[in-house]
Amino acid sequence: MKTLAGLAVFCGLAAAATAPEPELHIPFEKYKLANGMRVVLTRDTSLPISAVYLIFDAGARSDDKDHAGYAHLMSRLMFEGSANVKKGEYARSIQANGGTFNGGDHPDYADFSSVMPSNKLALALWLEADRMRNPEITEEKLKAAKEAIANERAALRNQPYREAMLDKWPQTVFADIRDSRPMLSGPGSIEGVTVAEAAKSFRTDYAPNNAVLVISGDFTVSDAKKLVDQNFGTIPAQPQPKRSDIVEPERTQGLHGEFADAHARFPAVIAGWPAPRRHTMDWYALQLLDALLTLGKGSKIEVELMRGRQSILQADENLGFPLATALDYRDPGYFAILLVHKATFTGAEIVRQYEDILESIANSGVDSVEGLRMRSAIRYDRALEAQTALGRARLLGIHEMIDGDAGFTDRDYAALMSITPQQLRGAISKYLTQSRADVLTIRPTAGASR
Amino acid sequence: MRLALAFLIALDAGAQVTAPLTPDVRAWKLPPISEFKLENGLTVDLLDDVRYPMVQVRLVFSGGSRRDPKDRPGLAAMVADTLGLGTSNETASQIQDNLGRSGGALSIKAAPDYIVLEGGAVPEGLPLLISVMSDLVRGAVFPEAELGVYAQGRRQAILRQVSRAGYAADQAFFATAFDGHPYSRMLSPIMAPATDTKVLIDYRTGLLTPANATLIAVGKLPARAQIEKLINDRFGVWQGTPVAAPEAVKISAPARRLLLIDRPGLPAAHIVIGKTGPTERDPEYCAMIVASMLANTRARNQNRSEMRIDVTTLDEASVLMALSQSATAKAAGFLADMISFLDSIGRDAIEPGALAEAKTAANSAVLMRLETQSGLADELAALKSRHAPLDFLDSYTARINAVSADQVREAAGKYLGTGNSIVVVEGDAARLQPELAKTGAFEIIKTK
Repeated sequence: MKTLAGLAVFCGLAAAATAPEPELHIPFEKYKLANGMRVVLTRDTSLPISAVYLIFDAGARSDDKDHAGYAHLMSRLMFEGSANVKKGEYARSIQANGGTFNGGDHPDYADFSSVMPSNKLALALWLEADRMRNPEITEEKLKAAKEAIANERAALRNQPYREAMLDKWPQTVFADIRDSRPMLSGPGSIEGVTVAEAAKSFRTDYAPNNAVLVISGDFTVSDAKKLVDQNFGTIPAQPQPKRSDIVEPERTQGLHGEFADAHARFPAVIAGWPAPRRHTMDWYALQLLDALLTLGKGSKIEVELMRGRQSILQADENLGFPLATALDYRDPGYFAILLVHKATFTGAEIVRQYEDILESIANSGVDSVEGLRMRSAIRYDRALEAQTALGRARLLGIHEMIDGDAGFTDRDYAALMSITPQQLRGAISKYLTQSRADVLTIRPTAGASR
Repeated sequence: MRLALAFLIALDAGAQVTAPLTPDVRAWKLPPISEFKLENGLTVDLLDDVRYPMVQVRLVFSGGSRRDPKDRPGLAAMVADTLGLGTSNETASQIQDNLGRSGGALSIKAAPDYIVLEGGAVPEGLPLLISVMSDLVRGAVFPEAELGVYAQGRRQAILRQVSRAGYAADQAFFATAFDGHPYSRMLSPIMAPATDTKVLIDYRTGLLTPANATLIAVGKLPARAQIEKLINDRFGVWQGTPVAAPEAVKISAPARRLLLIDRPGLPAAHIVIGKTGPTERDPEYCAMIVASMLANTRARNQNRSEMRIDVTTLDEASVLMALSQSATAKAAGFLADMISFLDSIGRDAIEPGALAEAKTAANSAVLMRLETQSGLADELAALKSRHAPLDFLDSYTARINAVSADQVREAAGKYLGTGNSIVVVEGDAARLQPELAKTGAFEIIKTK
């Protein structure tokens, strides 16, 4: 009876949410430069802050089998200086004005951003355009970037669960080399990269026709367009990089593996399943499930496994696990969770406890309290993301790059909130079945704690 | 030769080769703040921000560690840590479940000048969030069983805290800069001894009272009559006696002290140079902030990237600290260089471009905090606790932009100049002392 009442309330909430959510509408204007660069503008003049977000279709999953690590190398070279901005000057210019910056590669893109008071928008655009137009790639800088990557990999390898997540897990569950390539200990194909090869790769990967520029925050549209034109309009277009789709074989049985982790104090398991395609209702349903399981206070895993059975110490779950989210991971997708647990439980027991929760939701749905909690947590989380100039820029830029339309920012959110309990249950039954579960058991080999 | 190896891509003559000139940060204003008082003395500040579907609420109490009794340092922190462990109506678990339904979260923290309950929720969760806050401040019971678990975790946290290299230097600096003033204990890691449920309940009923509190709500708020009714319903019945102002204690004028904290075997030396400075209510405050930004940029430009200048703003003073670390063998030279650098800020000419950058950075520090609703609510709560006027933020940019190069130099000389600064070095005294003696006579402090 409790469940039926709960479902009724949840249905009501979902029905009310099928209309677009004006409260989370992110307005934008989009246009294209003659060189093919897409530009997205989104204004909010409440405070004099603006963000510049530049995203390139040049992620780690774009690297073919002969070019493993190129995406990471290219993104590092962006910080090595350019014709008019010496190495270190990019960071200095932004920090001296109290701004922040970031950049790097992801599975499906590379992105670079800065946030400064809006009086510095012209400076931010000039800095981005100069390194995009005229990166200074030298033997010395290439060597420095390669060494930095080697050090970074070594440091990551010394952290608990990292090698399991970044090396062993992809090798266990994926077939396509662009998915399965170990990230920390893979063949070092970047070691032999020459200046000319790096420059050639940079020329196409970081070309304007392979990029989306988003300006977010405090500006006037006419001024912004003028600055964009001045800074980016004359960067020449290049041949579009060829990207073939990643294909993973259909599987009916899960794959299993084990990993001995010398840095972990507690055992863990990673459990995962191949996920539905982007923008299908099942894909939205699994995002909702993720919120139900892990998002906010009172999430299912916190209540049932951390506080209830007291078996789980830490949980990390995502569509696109471990380096991406549902937002920024192209097809074929993957849904996985890392569960760090007490040594008094076996990995198999932990997977069973997790699957019990899935089974319970698939069979009985969620009650009204859980439905409300899940919906509130998603709304709050989304509002937190959208409230900053950079947060809005990222949402628009990633959708424009990955989905070809920044308009998915609003549409995805509306679709997510329209998922019915039946759709949630259906997606779990269809995708997250026991027989299809891939499992990696992580065993600590030093200093294990109970 | 280097050019031959370089590969410059797509260089074109049309591109601008120098950074563009930019104007000052433009003026801005927050939405109006509506303030009223309940009959029980609770001050309420409301600020509408309808852009995003969420609300942020802060219930801030004047006091914080500033009011900790001398024999119970850390009491305010303990109250903050344990206030959410249960009330006469709800267990800690039920409180968490309620918060989950509101879509947001609640945390409680103690600062030198205040204790604050910080909560966020979706707009529909506001009544639930406010109910939880009201329940906590009116009925937190600090259950003994939960306190035991807390104390165990707290001890571990304290051990981690005090073992951090540099912590002892920070602690000694504050103890010296505020000698005799309650701020001197602000980094004290000592948990209040013999604290039990009664002590904590007495603290709640004595200091967490409506007349000593301000409720700040920011975000997509209900219509005014509705939210006023909501606040009255939840907080109107809250009773408490007025809280006396804390005993006034004068902060001593800055005076030179050289302290060497002995940590045998520590491989690096942690250095703190600093002093107390003006409050936000002081006309020199903005010039001091710009001076600190200028110093940070100069340090980076001159490859002193290990050094940073921090400003902590409190109700009764601000604190300027230059922080750095160095290998033990080079510490004396490093310290001499830091002193020389800090003294140069108030002496050397300031280029217009550098001044403009420093002003933008000073503005940015505030703007970045205000960009999020939670940052805005936090800032308003902190301003309240420091008795700054509500329009302090609205005029901030104009005041920063009006600061002249001469004023910055004067403030730098006064607040960064090292003549009357406290210098603290934490490290292996046996190895450090012979070289440090060239700077002056350091008092050696042994650590346990």
